[in-house]
Amino acid sequence: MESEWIIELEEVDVTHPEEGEMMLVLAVQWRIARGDFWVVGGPPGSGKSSLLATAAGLNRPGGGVLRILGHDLSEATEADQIQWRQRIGFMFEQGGRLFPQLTVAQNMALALQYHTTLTEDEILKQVEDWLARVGLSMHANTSPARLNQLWQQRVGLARALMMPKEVLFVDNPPGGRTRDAAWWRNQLASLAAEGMTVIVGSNDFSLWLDTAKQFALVQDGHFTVIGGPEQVRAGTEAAWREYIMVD
Amino acid sequence: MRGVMMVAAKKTIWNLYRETTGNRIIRAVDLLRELGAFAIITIGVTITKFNVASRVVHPLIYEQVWRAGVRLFAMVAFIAMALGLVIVGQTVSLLTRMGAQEYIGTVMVTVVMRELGPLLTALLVLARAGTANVVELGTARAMGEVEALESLGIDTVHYLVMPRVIGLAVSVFCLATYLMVITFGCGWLFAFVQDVPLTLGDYFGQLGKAMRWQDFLLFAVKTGLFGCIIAVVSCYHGLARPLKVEDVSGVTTRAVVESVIGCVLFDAVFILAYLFV
Repeated sequence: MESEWIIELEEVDVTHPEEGEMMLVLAVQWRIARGDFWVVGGPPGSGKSSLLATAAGLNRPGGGVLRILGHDLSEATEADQIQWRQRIGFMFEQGGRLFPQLTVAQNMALALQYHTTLTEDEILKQVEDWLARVGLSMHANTSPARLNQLWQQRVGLARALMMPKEVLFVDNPPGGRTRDAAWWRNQLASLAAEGMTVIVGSNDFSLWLDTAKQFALVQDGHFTVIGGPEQVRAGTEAAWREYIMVD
Repeated sequence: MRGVMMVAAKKTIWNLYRETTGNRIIRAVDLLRELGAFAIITIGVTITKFNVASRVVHPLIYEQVWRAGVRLFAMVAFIAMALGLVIVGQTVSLLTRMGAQEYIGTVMVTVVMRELGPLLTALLVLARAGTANVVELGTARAMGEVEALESLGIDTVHYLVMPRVIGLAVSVFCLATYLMVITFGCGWLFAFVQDVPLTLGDYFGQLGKAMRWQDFLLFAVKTGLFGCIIAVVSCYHGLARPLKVEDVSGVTTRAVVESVIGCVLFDAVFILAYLFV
């Protein structure tokens, strides 16, 4: 039987993805349950993205115990990890890290072509559905490099969700009071309502106060759980409020 | 005092020598170990996953054959013609003038089929496709595309390395075969122009007699292995760490040097094989 915690970090040290000896966040204690909606904030360069990638099993932790879907990462084989990753979606920051040699539709179809035996027509249908959902139906055959960064991120979201997922990590979606920010908030709220566990890395808490259930902060190499929206609204710690845009 | 200073200087030189030489040896052994591990992983993935996700991975193999093989055909044909006219033709002409016509086949097979053909083709493929691999994969790594593949549950060795290894192995084999055939043909053409009294039938008859079945087998294994060495070394250097613009030239040069050393070392092993088979 799988644990109620879908992801558990016990005393996990988060390292820099390329320079493994550089510690970014130390001794992280974090438990994510099924159906949670977390927003992790922090100043730029604090290690939010690396923490999210570590929790998703993409970065090896520098120390501590990381359990993903009930399995200890340190005991997992490469094959196990590939298996779990199919259940966890990850939308990368900035351009979504799309593959530039593939078109938008090919980027989205790749995981389905690789992992499933669906016919090309069935895959195309799913790609078209997702393109319609993210509002980019006109750009199926466009190279990702021709899209602006906001649209690239939308394609990144669609690509991450092409296979059925249990957990979705979203790193730095558009923030502020823009139409795009509202679009992301609505999309993620709707995914959470469908039962998906959502973890967002953002330095704009205000956008998520009505949507997210839990908030946490990464600052000065430490991870701190703040609590629910009420705690964020009531928070008076100037040290983090200066980085987080709270109403 | 002077004696003490000389002893100190000697010690410093010795320490410097030991540190630099020792470090180089340690680095070389480390590199060899890492390349070996990478090659073993690649072989494992190729054996166990060759037919996994074939609709995604097999087109990538064809693409590599196209890029490293078909697109290099004109260059290989040009080099082969030059080789045939300049070296083989002259050798044929010389051997005929010396009355050693009966050795033409043996000399040609030894020089072109066993040694020059595979090695020259490997160097051409290395210059064209090997260096491109380092830059492409290094850039993909730096842009986070490798991590993006992992996030989709796609095995990066299966998706990025295996197609290149198979593609380059097939390409080197095919191109070396073309190079050999064109070189032999142009060699006869040069001899014909030089009025060497040797008919086309006699010429190819001699070549045929000099070739044994082992030559074909070792030719295939050798050229395939050269392609694998180039692909493994270049993919390793491309994926080992994300490349910055200023790193590209250094890493590419290292990959080229190591690939050449690898091919030459394995070539030496094949010389032993030819002696004993």
